Amino acid sequence: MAKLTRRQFTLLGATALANVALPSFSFAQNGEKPKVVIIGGGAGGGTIAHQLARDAGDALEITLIDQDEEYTTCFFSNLYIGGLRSFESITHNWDALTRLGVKKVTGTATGIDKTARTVQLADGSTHAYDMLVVAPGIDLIYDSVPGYTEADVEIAPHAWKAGPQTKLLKEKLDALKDGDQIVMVPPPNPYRCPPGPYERVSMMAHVLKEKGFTEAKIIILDPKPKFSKQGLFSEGWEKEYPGMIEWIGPDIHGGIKNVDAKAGTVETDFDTFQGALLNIVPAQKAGEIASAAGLTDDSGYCPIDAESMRSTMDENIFVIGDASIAGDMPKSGFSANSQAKVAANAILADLTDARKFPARYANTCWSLIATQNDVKVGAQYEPNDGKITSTASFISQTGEEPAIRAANYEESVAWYEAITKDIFGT
Amino acid sequence: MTKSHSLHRLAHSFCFIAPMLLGTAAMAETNPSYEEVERAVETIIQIEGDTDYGEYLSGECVACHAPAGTAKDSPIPSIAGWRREDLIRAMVEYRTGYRENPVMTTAMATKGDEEIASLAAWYSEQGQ
Ligand SMILES: Cc1cc2nc3c(=O)[nH]c(=O)nc-3n(C[C@H](O)[C@H](O)[C@H](O)COP(=O)(O)OP(=O)(O)OC[C@H]3O[C@@H](n4cnc5c(N)ncnc54)[C@H](O)[C@@H]3O)c2cc1C
Repeated sequence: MAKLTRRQFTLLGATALANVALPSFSFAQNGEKPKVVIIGGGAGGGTIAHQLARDAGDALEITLIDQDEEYTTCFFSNLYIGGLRSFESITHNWDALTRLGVKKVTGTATGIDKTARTVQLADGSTHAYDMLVVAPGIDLIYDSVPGYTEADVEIAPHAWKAGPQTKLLKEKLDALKDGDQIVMVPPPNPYRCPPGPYERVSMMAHVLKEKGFTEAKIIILDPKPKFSKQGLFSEGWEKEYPGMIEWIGPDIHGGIKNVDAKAGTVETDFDTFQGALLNIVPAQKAGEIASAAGLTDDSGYCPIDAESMRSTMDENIFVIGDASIAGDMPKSGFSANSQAKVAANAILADLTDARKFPARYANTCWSLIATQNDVKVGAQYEPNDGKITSTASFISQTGEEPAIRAANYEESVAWYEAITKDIFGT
Repeated sequence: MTKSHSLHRLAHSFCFIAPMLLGTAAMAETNPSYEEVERAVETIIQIEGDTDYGEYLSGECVACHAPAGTAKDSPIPSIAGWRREDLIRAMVEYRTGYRENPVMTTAMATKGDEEIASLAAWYSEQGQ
């Protein structure tokens, strides 16, 4: 089928399409509007649905598929664990987007037929698309941690997807007594939110300290020899929670040999650690639907064109957020939001008369070490040699004035309000 | 104090007002003369900004400044509907290092005159 060139399409104009049947047009036929389907309504998928609805709501039919009725952000879930936010304050829904004309479908995408251009859902229904956005976030590779299984998440929660897991981890944390020990196993690279495990430990320590515990301990058995913002976290832990947190790298523990969730033990080459609470975060990969649809490579994530976030496997599919291979960008909500805007621009340039601009990306990640002690890291990115590459960056400094750290925290709270508005259209 | 008045003051007595508005603002170590800022503002104000490009680039801004502006007491100011010159001046102050917040300094490090003019053109046309 002949595909209309972008120029011809521009001349026709997007609104004309709604009324005129174009037999040779490959996107929209029979006078229908071009269909954009989005799988996943999180940081990436929500943003792009909002962006497309706002910029071209009249010219497109936008369907957002998410398996859930509401969405709890992983960002700020550590603050919930630390007792600084309510669960409600980090839980959102897609109602505002539906008011903008986005059709929200609750269901699990199980397959993508790239030739017929349809998405299959677990309930047997199918949804046709002209352009598809795949934004399913991550899935966990449970057996990447020896001995850990999916069933163990009820005993030793990962809480790396926000929701019931996050609540469970908080319940278990709140039930600890002084003298108890927490053992955390962070994931190997690459994973969502590089500073996340260490912010999590900080917030758990905050809870223990607030209760006046002096004997409780947190042991981190890290598969990585170093971690994000390490200098800042190490300094912060010493200052805020002296003697409470011990980080042990692989050169000391020699590798995780076995996790026994029921017994509450983590066995390493070096020693066996007993925890009243185990927080095990396994290795990660792109959300299952991405590999099921053949959009991933050997890394388990999806290669994309750095100029557009378009899948290198299929020109009618875009992959954004944690599921994508985004070069130097960390897997974060901020990154997913930024990638969504580049993809939205490319989709609008394909489907309407909008102009395509060069890809530009940004990220900032704030991490809370203790109330009023917040550190941040951020960068600008653009395509270079086919890869999303950092062009400018910053990181908080050790030894900074408390006022700067307190201001960082205020800034992060404002960021949370702003980005959730931008994702959910509220 | 009216908004444009406070912005005007912000530009000229930055040290006094900025910490209130910007939270983590601090003077850059190598403090460039205000002349450098003025020169850049004069150049950029002559460039007719491309509002489509500005709108596209603003995607980065709204992640913190919010699509329709932040709350009144927010440490991150609303920027929608600012005067074009005030927007240009603020962005140039960050780019030159005259004003410093790591997030803004880094964001502006990658923005040329064209980008600043386009962002200012777009944001000055937005409702508040
Ligand atoms: C503890 C923690 C702290 C974090 N802190 C920060 C932070 O401070 N700042 C920051 O920027 N980032 C932070 N992050 C990272 C951030 O949460 C993720 O990077 C971000 O959510 C990725 O967005 P996404 O759209 O790729 O995936 P998600 O936001 O996970 O969205 C994916 C959505 O797709 C849905 N879905 C998946 N598969 C299917 C399917 N087959 N069918 C239908 N629906 C499906 C899911 O239900 C989900 O709603 C943190 C993460 C964690 C774990």
